[in-house]
Amino acid sequence: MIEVQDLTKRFGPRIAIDGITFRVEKGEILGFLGPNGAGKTTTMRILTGFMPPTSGRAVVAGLDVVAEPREVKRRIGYLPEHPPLYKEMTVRAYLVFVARIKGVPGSRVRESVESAVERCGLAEVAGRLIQNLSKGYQQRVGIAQAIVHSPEVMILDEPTVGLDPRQILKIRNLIRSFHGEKTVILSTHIIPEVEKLCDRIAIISEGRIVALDTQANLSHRLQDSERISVQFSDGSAPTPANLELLEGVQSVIKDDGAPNRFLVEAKVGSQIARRVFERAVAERWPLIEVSPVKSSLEEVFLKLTGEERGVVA
Amino acid sequence: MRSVFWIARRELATYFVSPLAYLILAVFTLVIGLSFSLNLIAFANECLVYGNNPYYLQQLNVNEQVIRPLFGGFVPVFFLILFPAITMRLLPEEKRQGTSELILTCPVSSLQIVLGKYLGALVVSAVMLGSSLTFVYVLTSVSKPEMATVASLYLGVFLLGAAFLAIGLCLSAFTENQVLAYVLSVGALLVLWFLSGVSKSTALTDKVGERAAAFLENLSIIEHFADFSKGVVDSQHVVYYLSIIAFSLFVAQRVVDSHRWR
Repeated sequence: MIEVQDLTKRFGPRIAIDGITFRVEKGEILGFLGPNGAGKTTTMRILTGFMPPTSGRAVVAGLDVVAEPREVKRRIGYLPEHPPLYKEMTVRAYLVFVARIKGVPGSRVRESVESAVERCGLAEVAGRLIQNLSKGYQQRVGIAQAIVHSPEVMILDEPTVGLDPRQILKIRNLIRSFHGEKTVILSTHIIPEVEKLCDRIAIISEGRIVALDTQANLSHRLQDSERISVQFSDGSAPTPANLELLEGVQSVIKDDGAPNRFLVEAKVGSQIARRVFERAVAERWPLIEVSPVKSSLEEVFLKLTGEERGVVA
Repeated sequence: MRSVFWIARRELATYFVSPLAYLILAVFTLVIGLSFSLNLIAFANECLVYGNNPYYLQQLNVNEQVIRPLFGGFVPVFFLILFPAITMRLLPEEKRQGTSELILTCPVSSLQIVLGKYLGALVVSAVMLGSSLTFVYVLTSVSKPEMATVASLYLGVFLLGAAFLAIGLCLSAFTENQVLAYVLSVGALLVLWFLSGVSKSTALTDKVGERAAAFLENLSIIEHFADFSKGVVDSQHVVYYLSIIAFSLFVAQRVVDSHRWR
């Protein structure tokens, strides 16, 4: 449905995106994950025809975005980072306007608007001025605007930014409801969001896609060590130095959150949990908990985008 | 073409939900109404005083003494001050609200966007001018103005206003700041206005020669209005205003388009 090849965008000497290539299949939800300024918005703006690429090709629904921008725009629903709302209009009047200029035929405008209103849960506020709505509702109006012309492709730039947890949940459910029906690209820097919503994840850093896969594969691929968290009770607990002597251990980090809790990292296949247990029995260490630590997407993200642990939480 | 209509309609709705349009209309009708009444009272007094003298009676003319001073004098000045206030928000507001990201990702061309915005502003100015027809109506009930002259005046005023709006819209495309858009437009209109005064100064004529001075005079936006207010519709003036409009809208379209290509 979406095919991007070697897409590059320069702003003067600055390279915003640098040779991005990816595909999105019909009905799939792809998440763009990346720090601010990584090039997510630029990529989306090129796909929506807001700005042209410096080089490379982007094809949406079989149409080149540079050669046939109008046809592409008809097929895309786009929610920019700041929802583009005419705040002095009522929700319904605004959606009618968008439907009209998106080229929905006159006889189907009312029906399209009503279905977008219903789908986005805007029925109670449809007659109110957009400027008087809460941020959550405004965001939903933004999404309604993106689906009012029944596009095949939806591009959502940080759809949940600045919302409270309850509103985030509602927006996520709404986006999830597009699964299988529309092809969706959404960007975010909130990791749980891509974990919950997306079929595949593209991690973008400094204008490049550094990884593109399903969440499971991404975590797995970066699992180059076995990690456990061990907890001892007070008394004769070992020091990190004691644990480091075990076979295969690469590092032992004292957990700041609790006393006598350590994060032990060891080589893959070293059966570290078992070794710790056996040694604890032999040395009479008061072991009370051993639990595996999975490599989270967050760590994958931090690793790939090259940021220090702890800088981004 | 349908998109142009919808964009224009949305613009109009915006003007009339904000106090701006009403404020402009109110100021316009207030001042034009005052000056109309004063002119009319003065004219009526003259008629009373000189009405019995056939020589003077010939000199009295309701078009010359009531209508022309109104439209020839006040109205262009009003346009100069108020029309940039109509156009200043047209394009900057889209950028400020972020709605340019909506409109530029819709299947509409930049020309349609510019035309739609222009049409919206033009309708506001037409409503404003239309409201002044009440004065003409009042006049017809107490005297017999020459309607052809009135029509030519209205055409001239409308074209002048349309040119002001086009220039204002064009300059608003260059900035995201409404105040800047307003000042730019008033400044540009003032310069175009005073070209007529400049071209008549002999100091300049001596320096640049007759032909250059004549060229400047022809460029002056107010010089072309003079004939209309005398009741003369000369095609060269109509062409002048239409060219100003076409050129300004063309530039505005290029500027809007350039945002896509940055």
